[in-house]
Amino acid sequence: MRPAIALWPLKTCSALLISFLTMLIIMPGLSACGPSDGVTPITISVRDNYFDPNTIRSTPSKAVSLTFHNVGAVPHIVQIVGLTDQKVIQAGQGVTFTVTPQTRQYAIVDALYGADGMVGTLIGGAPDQQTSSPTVSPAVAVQGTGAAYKAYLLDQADQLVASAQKFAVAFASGDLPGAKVSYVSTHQHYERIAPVIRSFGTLESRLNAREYDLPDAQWTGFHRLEKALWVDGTTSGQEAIARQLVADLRELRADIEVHALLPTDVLDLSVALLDQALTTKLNGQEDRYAHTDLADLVASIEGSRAAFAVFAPFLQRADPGLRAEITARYDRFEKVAGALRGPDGVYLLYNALTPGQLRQLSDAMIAIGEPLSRVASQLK
Amino acid sequence: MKKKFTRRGVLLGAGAVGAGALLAGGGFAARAGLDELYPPSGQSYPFYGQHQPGISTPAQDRLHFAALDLVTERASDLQALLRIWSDAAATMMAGRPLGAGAAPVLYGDDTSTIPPSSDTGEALGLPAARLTITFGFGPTLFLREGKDRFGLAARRPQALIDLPSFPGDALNPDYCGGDLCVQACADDPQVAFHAVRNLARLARGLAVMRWTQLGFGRTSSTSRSQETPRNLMGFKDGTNNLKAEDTALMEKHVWVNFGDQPSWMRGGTYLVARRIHMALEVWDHNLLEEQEWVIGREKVSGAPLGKKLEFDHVDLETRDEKGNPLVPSRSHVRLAIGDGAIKILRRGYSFTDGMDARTGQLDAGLFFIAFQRDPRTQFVPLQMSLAQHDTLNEYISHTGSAIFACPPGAREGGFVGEGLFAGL
Repeated sequence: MRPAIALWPLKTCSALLISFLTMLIIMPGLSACGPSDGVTPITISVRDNYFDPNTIRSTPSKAVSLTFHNVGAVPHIVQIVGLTDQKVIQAGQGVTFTVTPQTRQYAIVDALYGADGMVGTLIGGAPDQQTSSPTVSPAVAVQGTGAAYKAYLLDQADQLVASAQKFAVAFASGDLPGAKVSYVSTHQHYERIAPVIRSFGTLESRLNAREYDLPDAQWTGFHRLEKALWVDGTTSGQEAIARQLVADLRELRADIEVHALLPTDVLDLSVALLDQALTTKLNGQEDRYAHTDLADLVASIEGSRAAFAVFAPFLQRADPGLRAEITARYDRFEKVAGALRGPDGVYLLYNALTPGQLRQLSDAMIAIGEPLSRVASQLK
Repeated sequence: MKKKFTRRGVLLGAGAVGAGALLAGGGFAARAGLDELYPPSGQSYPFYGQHQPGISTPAQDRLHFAALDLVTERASDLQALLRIWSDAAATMMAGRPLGAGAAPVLYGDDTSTIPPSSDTGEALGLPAARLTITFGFGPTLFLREGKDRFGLAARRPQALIDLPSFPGDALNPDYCGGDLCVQACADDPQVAFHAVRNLARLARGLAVMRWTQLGFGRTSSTSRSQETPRNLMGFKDGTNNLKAEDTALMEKHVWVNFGDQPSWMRGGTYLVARRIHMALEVWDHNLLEEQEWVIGREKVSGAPLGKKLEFDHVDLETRDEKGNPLVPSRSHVRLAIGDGAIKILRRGYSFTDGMDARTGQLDAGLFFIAFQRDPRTQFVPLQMSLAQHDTLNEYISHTGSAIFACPPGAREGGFVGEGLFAGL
């Protein structure tokens, strides 16, 4: 059995599993994909670089429902060659194909990891026909990073919209403590994908402008609501701004859907997320009233790592040393940041961090930037 | 009118001037006034003249800038200080020590009570190093917290505004404002330091230092005799800067004109200083392509994107095969050019104040200095556009800010700012 590639620490994985469970609840598309009468359901675990089980047998000419659950840490692009299109499966998510195999073998290929041998087999009946194991060229794999990362963006955008809806409900019902909690988690979803928003006109300034960035009458978005909650101590009067936030985030989701991403774009976004953590979060200018900058800082680095993760299998071939170095540095950051939580597991407020803790965070992030920027030389 | 110089024009101009500066080392070029502009290194500029020095002077390599607050409340003290300062500035710019220099001042035969020397001494033996000293008046000289300390409020130039807040400002009050400013520029950092130190010493009891800034490398060329330097981001900066040789443009964009108000500012100009922190660690790990998109120029050549040479015309029209402009719409170059109508004379310096102990990151960047005829129509709209749209904002933040009215030059025997007190 091939060893699983441990990219993310356990706690991140479990966080993703929790978000996976949430996805099942909030995405009707997924639950509707369940097997119906007369269809054999089969579940396949998609691990970091292999399918488990690797070989599936089914009855020829009979519908079978194959559910791929990504239980690993990295995104996958899965296709049953000859039966389905490519589908992106984010970590913690699942996708179901209902197919009717003929009496032959089909290759189950991962477009990202296929060249590394991540190929399974669907056998329709007796193995009377041999098919050669398809290979995926490195060029195809790196081209796939754009699609894989886009799927991550869409997933985060979906969670962002759902979270913002709860946030807006808290505003509408005058639930101040609930709105405060919701602000933090919603803004984290935002920060995981923030740099891509620059590509969408005025959305960024509508969503995330700070006080005085815009004339007061035009100031909307997260930080206006943050100020209402933490400075004015009320939800009243801001309900319309909260509703507007949801509408703007829906627009964001739609923009991402039609946004084309090249591998260099993904790398740029990975670096840009790191930059955002190193600047506005590290200096406490992101959440001036809530002081939840550290939670956002961690979210930015999670987003940066997710963007890097789509390169990981490609780099494993091109420059395994570089991949290991970057992975170790993300790990190191997570260790530093992970220690900065209160007993309730909530990240410390910015104004509770000591100069030494800020310094550790800064050093850990700067250490990521240099090797991460070298990935560019592998994309040419 | 807009005069767009061509590559050819620049070469001719630079050739004539550069050859003179290199070969003659004294008075050289045929055009009147050029010998004032290009003394060889070690030479000195005159303090007295129509304009204050240190503005159209070819930018020296080093800067020491100081903002001071008056602690006296008497206008006569202020006048006395400006006279003392002007005399001292003329002396130091000539490369001479103050008073009797560092020699002991003896009173009779008593050698037991020798007072400190009149010059602090660290520039003794050093050349004048093209030292220039430029003085300016801040808004608080005229009105501070509603108080007219010196009876000058009615004489405040309208152009000497309180700068508005710009989007993204991260101003630290420790680097903002000031009643007075002293800009000392020289090719030797010790000569510049000496000037500020001795002027501050002369002011003791009348004015105290509010903040200072050392600049270790010029980031602008203000003359065609100079190469365009690079800023700490590694890019050539200020290629399109106004040049001292463009006298008509200098009249139009830098000097307060004959018809402008108040009359005591005619021949003067307005200085805007901004301490701009650069997130260099962040900049360093960004892809070269991204850096070039942000700036709008190629890093090595300095050429505008889509062109070959530094002084090639910035082509804001041409688009690539995907329909995107070659010079991105939110790039620094495009926004700084705007519609081409706003021009300022930039005379900034790279600085570092060590590192930020909290983050371990360099505390470094650009100490931006710009001179202009009216900040209301020049710096303010320019910065408002940059602050709102410039992608460079992801890598920089403005941490200090000040504005000063720099009066015209002093006539020999007079002092800088004399006109402010006429009839008082």
